[in-house]
Amino acid sequence: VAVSSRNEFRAWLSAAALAGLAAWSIAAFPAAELVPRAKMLAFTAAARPEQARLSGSALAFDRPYGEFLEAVRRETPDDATIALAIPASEGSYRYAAAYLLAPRRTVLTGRLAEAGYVAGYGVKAKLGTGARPIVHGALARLP
Amino acid sequence: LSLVARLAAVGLEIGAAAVLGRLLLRPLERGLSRAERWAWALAGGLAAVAALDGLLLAARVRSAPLTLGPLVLAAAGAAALLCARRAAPAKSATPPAGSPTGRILYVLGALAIVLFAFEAVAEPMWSNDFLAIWGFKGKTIWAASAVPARLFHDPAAGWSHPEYPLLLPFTMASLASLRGAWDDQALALLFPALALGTALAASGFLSRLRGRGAGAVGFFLVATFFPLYRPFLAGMAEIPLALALLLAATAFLDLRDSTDGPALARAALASLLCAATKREGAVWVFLLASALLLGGTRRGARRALSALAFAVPAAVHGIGLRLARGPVADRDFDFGLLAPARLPELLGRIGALGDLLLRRAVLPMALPLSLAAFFFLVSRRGGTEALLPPLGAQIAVYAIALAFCRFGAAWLLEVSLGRIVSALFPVAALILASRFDAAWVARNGNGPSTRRMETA
Repeated sequence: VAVSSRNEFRAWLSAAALAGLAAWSIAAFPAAELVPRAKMLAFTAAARPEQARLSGSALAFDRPYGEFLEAVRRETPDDATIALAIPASEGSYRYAAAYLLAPRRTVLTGRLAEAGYVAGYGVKAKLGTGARPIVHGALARLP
Repeated sequence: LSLVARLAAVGLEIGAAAVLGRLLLRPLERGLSRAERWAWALAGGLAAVAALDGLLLAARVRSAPLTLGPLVLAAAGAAALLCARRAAPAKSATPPAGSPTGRILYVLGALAIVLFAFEAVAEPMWSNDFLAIWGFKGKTIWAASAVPARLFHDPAAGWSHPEYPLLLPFTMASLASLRGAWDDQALALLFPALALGTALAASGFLSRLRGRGAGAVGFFLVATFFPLYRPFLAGMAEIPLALALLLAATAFLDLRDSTDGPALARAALASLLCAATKREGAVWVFLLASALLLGGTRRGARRALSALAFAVPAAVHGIGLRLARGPVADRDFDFGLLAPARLPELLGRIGALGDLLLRRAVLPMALPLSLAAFFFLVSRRGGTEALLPPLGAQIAVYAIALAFCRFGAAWLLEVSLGRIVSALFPVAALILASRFDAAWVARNGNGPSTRRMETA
């Protein structure tokens, strides 16, 4: 009887410890994000995929930058190498550009010699430079 | 197409890959429960579709619905024909009906996966590692219908980790090719599907080992592990890696009992999946191979055979990748520290890890670690404890790797230690659920024992 009750006690203790672990794990569920994500889902379900991408978390750090990249994508061929004048110190700008413009190759302006195009974010196209204005920036084809 | 239609299309593709996996992996299924069969089929089928996509690209044929689709159908047809010629497959090891508590655990686990799916597909995948590494490579491979050399050797894209293996990018690229569109919102469905596969693998193995109750607990523990199954990790390699690590763990436990052909083949497949998903996967299979060599219950040739089943596929994958892409720079780790002249520096770095790990990794996790330690004190042996040494060694490798980081151990700990350790949780859940079941069985005076389901 003593062994049985000790086993019973151990079983309940193990159940309590495991329940505690499960509770810790479940507490990591981002419940506060449920409503915002439901709203996001409703929006993206009605939007075109490009709109959904531009409105998503990936470009939350700078929404106009997404529109600029989308304009560069529309204006350049898939096999192009594009030199980007962007805030290079921030990884997010480089990663978003590489992903959104893939399979195009993207480099920073330090590698201008390797590029067929140069695109500047937040830059105004100057007359006589061969650059033309695009959304939130300028794009030029390099000789 | 509406989002619902796009999600349905990706869901159908994943389902079709799982069916292909069932057809291809039938010879490996002997002794597995039904849930395990589907888990292996999901992982194996997705890898098979990715491999067929790779074959097309190697043959310089554009990967598209009209090229990859027929190839997948042909592979499924060939596998079905070959299987039809063989004897009828062994019946799955189906445990007796579960208790109401078990059913509740399955329902709650399923609900957790639905919640994860809901959050994962709410928007296009967005984490930095998806954009910079996994999605960048997958989209490039899909759009270029090739694996451009610049994915490995472009100095302007060194941040994309050219040294990482390519199974996940190829999986996403192949699913995109089947549909003819790169849809980074609908593709997010892949990750809840892999979560379901992982929970099924855990529950199926535990049901076979200890009974339906343990299976239900394993399913619940894995499915509700939100530190891993969260929208931020959709698009990254930890979720597929968790499935591969778990499959390898179950193959390891099976190999301790039997070295028959299917068990060895499952170990080899799991080894390949682990190594092709992430470098941590290769570490895991080499640790499992070492554990079999050093601590196996069998002797001589069989022990060596079991270890080789794990070690050879991962080694072949590593060598093959090295030959195919040439040497690549490792941006994060400085293995030059292993040079004799720099050993004092390395030892100094390792010495400094203790304080950092205590403050930034152990203390923030004091509650779950204490609960786990207490659980181990009061629970009983569940038949899965052989996983503890490789599991501990894997975490030790992660910790020591911090000392090699070029950007400082604190940085690497901050950005990756938590999530790479969380990918090991499904393996830990096997141990937790089996020990819990053992304690619960002993409560009724039956004594701790493992029960293996008989197969026909």
